[in-house]
Amino acid sequence: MLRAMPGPGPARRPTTDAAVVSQDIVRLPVPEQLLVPLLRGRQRVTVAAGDRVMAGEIIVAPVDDHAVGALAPLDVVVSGERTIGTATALVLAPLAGALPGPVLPPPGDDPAALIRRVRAAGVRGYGGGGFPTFLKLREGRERAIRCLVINAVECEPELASDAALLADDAVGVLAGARAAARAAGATRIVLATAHPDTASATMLSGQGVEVLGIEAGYPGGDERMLAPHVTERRLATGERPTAAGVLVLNVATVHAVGLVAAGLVPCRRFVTVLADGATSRCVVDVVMGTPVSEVLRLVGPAPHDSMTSEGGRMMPRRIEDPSWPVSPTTTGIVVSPSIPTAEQPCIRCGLCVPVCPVDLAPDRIWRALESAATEDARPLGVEACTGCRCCDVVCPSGIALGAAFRRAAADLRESDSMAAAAERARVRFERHEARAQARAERARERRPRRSTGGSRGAVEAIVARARKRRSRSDAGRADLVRHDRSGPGDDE
Amino acid sequence: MGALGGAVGIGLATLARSTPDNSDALVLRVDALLPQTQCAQCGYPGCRPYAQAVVDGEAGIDQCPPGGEATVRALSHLLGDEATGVDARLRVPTPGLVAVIDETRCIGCALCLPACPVDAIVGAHRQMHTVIEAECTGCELCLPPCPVDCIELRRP
Repeated sequence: MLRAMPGPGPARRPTTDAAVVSQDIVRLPVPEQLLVPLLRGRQRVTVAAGDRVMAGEIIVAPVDDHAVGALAPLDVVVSGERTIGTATALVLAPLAGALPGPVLPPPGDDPAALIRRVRAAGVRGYGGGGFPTFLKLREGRERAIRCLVINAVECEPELASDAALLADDAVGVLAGARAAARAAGATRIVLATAHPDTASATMLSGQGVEVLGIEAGYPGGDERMLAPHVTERRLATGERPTAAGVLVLNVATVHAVGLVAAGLVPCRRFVTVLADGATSRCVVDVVMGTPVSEVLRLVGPAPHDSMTSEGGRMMPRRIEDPSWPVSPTTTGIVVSPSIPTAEQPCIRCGLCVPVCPVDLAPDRIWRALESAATEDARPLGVEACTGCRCCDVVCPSGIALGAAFRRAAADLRESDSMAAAAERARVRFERHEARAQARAERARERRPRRSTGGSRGAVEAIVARARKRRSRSDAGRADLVRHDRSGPGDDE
Repeated sequence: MGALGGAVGIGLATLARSTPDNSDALVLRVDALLPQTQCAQCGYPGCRPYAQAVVDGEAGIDQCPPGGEATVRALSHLLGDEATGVDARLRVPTPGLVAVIDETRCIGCALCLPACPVDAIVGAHRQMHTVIEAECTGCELCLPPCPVDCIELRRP
C-alpha cells in the first residue's frame, strides 16, 4: 500500500521502471586513467608522481575538520596532477589486471573506527548532494538517532541508478545498512522506495528492514520530506532529519559504507545515461574516476550545440569539460540541447506557489530579488529553498527561479559572514582603544611635573625635557608618521 | 538678523538627527551599518566616532570608502538622506585585501603593532611579526609606520 506524499511536485507520475534487471546494466571496464578531484586548500595529496600505490593506501588526506580523504581504489601508478577547468584532479594509471578485492583489515565493530575509515575512503552522499558521510554518521551518534532510512526513492524523473543497485546487490545494501546503523546508533532500519514489491524489497523485509512505499512524485526523495514518514514530527525550516531522531542516507551511500566495513574501497557506482536522441535510457556500472567522455562513447557523438550535465533533468549540474570524472555525486549524465532561455517578466500568475515543496512563495521572493532587495527575501524563506526547480518548470515566463534563489541564498550567507567579521573587528577595536587610553593615562601620570621649588628647579626641568627631545630626534625618528593613537614612544 | 539666526538654528536642528534621549541608540544603529574597518579614511579615528559625527550632523553619509556604495545606500535608507555614492575625493580601496608581512624583510621593530586598530598583528620587539589573516580588515594603517616597507596588501 503506497503512502501518498503530501502536496506538491509537477511530476507525479512514477519515476523509474520497477523492472531493471541485472542483464540490462552495461558494465564498463577499468579505464586507462582515473581522475580524483581535489578540494583545494581542504585536502592534500599524500603521494607523488611516479609512486606505485597499492589498493587501499592513502592518496589524499583531509586538511580541515569537515573534509574527507581518498584511498587508492585499485593498484595504480600516480601520474601527477591535472587541471580541469578551475579544479585540480589527481591522475592515477591503474596497473594492468588490477582488481578490487579486500585490501584492508576490516575496521571492526567500533563505531568510531568505522567512521574514521568512511572518512579516509572519501565516502560522500551518492544521491547527488555529496555531503561527507562520516559527518552524518557522527551527527547521528551525537543526536542519539533511533532510525536509519535507506533512501531509494530516486524521485528524479528517468534516473534508475538506485533501482539498478537494489536489483543488483541487495545483500550488499543490507550489510551496509547494518554497518551504518551500528555506527550511528540506530536500532531501526527503514527502506524508503517507490517500488515496495520488488524481489529486493521483499528480501530486505524478510531480514528485519521495514519497507516504506512512497508514491514518488518529484521532489519526494528529499530527506527532509522522508523524515516525517518515520517519525510523527515535522521538521522546522532549516532543521535536519537528525533533529527528529532519523538519519537518511542514499541507498548507494549505504552500500559504500558496507564495502568500507568489509575492508574494501568503494570503487564503482551505477550511473543513468540520458541522451536526447538516443533510443533508450542506459544504466552503466562504471569505476569512479572514469572521465565522463569515456561513458558518453556508449551513446555516440553528442549533437552540435548540446550540453552535458551531471544529475538528472530537474537538478542538472553542468559539466564544462568532458574529461571531468564520474564521482560519488554522479547519479546520472544528461546530454541535452543547449536551448537559450528567453526570460520574460513575471506576470503574477501564482502557478509557482502550490508546487513549492517547502511552502515558499516564489513569486514574492522573485519580486524582492527583482528590486535588488535581497535582504527582503530572507524573511520570505529563500534560505530554505531546496533548489528542486519545480517553480522553474511551471513558470510560463521561463524565469530561472531556482538559480536566482540559490544565488540569493549564497549572497545572504556571504553578507552574514561579513557582518560577523565586522562585529569581531569592532570588539577588537574597542579593546585596542581601551588599552591605548590606559597606556596614555599611565604615561601622563609618570611625566615629570613642573617643579615648584624655585627657578633653578624649573630651569632643570626644562633642560631635561629638551635633552630628551633631542635624543629622540637624533635616533632618526623625526620622519615617522605620528597619529592619534599612542605609539611605543609613550612608554619611555 | 534674528530671523537669519533662527533659520540657521532650525537648519542645524534638522541636521542633528536626534534628541539627546535617542542619540545613543541611533549612533549604534549607524555603527552597525559600517564595515568596522577602522581605517580613519572618513576623517574620524574609527567607525564609531564617524557614526557619532553622522548622527550629530557633522559628517555626510558618503565618507566611508571601504563601505562603498552599499554602505551609502544603507545609511540613506536608515536616515533618509539622499546620496548617490562615496565622495569622489576619497579613494575606494579594492575590497577583500589583507595585509601580509614579508618575513624575509621584517626587522622586528614593533612599530606596526600599535598601528593596527584591531590588533591583528602578532609579534614583539626583535621577534617575527605576522598578520592574523582572519582579523585583518585591510585598513592599510600598518603600511606607513613600517620603516622597511615589508607589508603589502594581497588577496587572502
